[in-house]
Amino acid sequence: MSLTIALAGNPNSGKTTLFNKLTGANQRVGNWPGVTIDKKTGKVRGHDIEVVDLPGIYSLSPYSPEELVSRNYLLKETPDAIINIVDATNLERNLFLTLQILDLGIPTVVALNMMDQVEKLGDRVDVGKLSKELGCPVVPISAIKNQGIQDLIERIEKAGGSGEVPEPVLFDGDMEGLIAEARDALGSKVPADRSRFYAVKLVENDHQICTEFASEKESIAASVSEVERKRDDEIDSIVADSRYNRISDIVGDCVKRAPRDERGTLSDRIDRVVTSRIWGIPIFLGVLAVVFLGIIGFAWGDFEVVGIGTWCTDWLNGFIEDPIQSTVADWCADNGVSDAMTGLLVDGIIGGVGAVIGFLPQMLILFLALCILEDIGYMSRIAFVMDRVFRHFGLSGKSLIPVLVGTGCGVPGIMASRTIESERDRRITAMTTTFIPCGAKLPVIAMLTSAVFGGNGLVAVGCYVMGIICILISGIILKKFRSLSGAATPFIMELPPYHIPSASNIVKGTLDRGWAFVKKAGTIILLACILIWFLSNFTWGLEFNGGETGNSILASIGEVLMYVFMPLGWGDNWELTVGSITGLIAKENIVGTFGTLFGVEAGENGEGLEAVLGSMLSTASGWSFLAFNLICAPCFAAIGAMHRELGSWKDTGIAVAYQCILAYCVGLVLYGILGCVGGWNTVVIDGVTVDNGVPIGSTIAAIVVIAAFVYILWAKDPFRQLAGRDEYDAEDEVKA
Amino acid sequence: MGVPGVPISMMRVGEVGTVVSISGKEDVRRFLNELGFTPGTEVRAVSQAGGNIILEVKDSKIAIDRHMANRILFCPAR
Repeated sequence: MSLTIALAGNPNSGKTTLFNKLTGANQRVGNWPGVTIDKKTGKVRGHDIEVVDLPGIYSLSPYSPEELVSRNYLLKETPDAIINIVDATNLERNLFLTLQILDLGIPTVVALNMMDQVEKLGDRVDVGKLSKELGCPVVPISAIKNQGIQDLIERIEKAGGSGEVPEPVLFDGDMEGLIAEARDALGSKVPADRSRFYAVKLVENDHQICTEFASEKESIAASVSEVERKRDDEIDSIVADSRYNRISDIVGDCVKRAPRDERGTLSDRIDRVVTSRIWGIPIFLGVLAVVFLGIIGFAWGDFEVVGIGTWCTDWLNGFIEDPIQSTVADWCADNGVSDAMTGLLVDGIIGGVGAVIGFLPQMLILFLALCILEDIGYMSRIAFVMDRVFRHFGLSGKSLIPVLVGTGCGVPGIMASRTIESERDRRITAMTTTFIPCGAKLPVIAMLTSAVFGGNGLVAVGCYVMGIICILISGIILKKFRSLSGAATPFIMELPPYHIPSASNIVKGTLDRGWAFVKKAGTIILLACILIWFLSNFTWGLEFNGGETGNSILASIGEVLMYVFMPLGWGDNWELTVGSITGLIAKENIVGTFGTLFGVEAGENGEGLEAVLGSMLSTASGWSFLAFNLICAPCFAAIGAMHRELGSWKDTGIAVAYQCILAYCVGLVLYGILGCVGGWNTVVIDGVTVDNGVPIGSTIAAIVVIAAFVYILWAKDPFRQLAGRDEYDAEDEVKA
Repeated sequence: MGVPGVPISMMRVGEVGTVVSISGKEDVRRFLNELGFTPGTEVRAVSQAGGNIILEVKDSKIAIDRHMANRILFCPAR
């Protein structure tokens, strides 16, 4: 007989680790709450059991949307049994959920996780007694160390097979009286097994359930207010308090705690420094700088340090050019392959895909650094430290979590906005998360850094800071629209304990993401490069132009569109426009496109892709190119993710339009202002330095744009939307 | 009730106290209850940054922003 088992527990209690151990799956594990935001299913190896991994929850009254997923699953889809995973180092808080799960009337086994750490602390847990008090089987395990998993599988099979429902843990007298009354009122309107759960939630004032059973709620209202009067508190607090009182009794009976270090744990001492008012933000910026200077390197005057990533990339690029590219070219020449075919192979495919693959080392190092920061437990501290800054701009530090996830890839970043409780903040975050450069944008940054900015890794740090600034500015601007206004979400977040990162977890996380990048290069990027090569090597009359891309189909399209970007200082280089458009498919495509397009010229003049780019972009226009491409509409995959979070194509369209307009404005301002600095608007063409001078038109336009932004940012109601409306209206609308 | 309470945002690092009351919107209050902030619970300030505070409650660390921390009142331990 096949069983369906749900895995439920607090955030960061090790559900996903246990899920992986049970099913042999490779789901991403992270040391911060909210890694799992949607349910995942898998089969237990060697057994006919399906396991469903649910997002972490603190209670069965949902607070954020991803918590709703868990409750709805448990209530509506009724698994055969539940494994309630409990962090044994934090029993009281975890049992708060357990007591509610036991109310559900579904066979349950408690998996007491992290027992290895309990032993390390010197605490003792009486498992037999705990099992008796909770009225359900309790199995001590350590998911990380793979201990107790077999025992757990046997127990859950038995529980699911027998269908034996646990005894609920009872509250004190008052509460049980109310619950009994609620059960009578609900009668047969809810399934008999579930009736205690519904009754407790009805007493507790659970929003959804009280709406569903409004008249039943009405009928117990008198008794509820009597208890409220007697205890001089609100009913939801009274229920939480009673539940915690019961838990304190249980924990007192079953756990013997070893004395703790008076000075606080090492975690505490680290937190005192990294989250302090003075050091918190400098440490965050320092970490950012170390990561990117390490990847890209640093150059200032004569002082130059090559980043590890750049060093590997240079080597890999050299290897792709010679022997790979040169060998294929020679072979083609020796075997009489046609010019067009040779061009496609050497310039189109190897040049384009190779240019992207060349950046693999830098991306791997970025992913490695992200995995380490995640695993240590630093990410949630960053959110806490930055909350103060974000709050000035009407946003919560919670919005930073999706942004941090987005440094790897924008798609999971946008999805992570689901952990934000307020709908308005969630929408704003989903619209702005991709302003932070994702892994796929790193090759673009790295390419421009070495081609235009002399290998200075601070440019990369600047790109990330620019992303954050754009998010903050957008926070203010978007909150001035009626549909998005409102106070920032409160920041309440559990901080996981620091731990030494597990090598296997980090290596796996890094390689998984790296492999996804290689797969993309071998499929989407490959196809795009072939298309770009074809369009740039054939005329409208479908004649092969022999590498003279000037008269190609692509050139004629680009030459029309390039006028749009002239104010940004991209000049009459249609290739830049085409590259930006292909970036919509995937951002690393910009590199692939340049690899394909410039490979031809590079071959003839003996100069590399970087030299060609250096002849097109100055410091000022290089920044405008970066700004536009990093901030404008993300790739199609991320736009799809935005659509899932925003709910309609209309809103998604508005979001994309906002991103493009903002990107254009930032690009214009950067070019117009930086172009005024002496020597920052020069390009090197064939070894000759050409000064393009001050771009008067763009500078004037930039000043106008700045003035407009200043007005929008400081004016109370620039869009004439908020008049006659106060905070209470905003709250009412949220409820509606 | 007249129990003296100080906003928890004023807690000094390392200080210990018990929660007296929580005010604010219902769903936020409920969430804090669930995390263990119920009247009578002992809390300890782990770190403080301009009113944003990290508190240890029931063996876990919870970070709370200043606005929310102002609405939780605590009574310092003797």
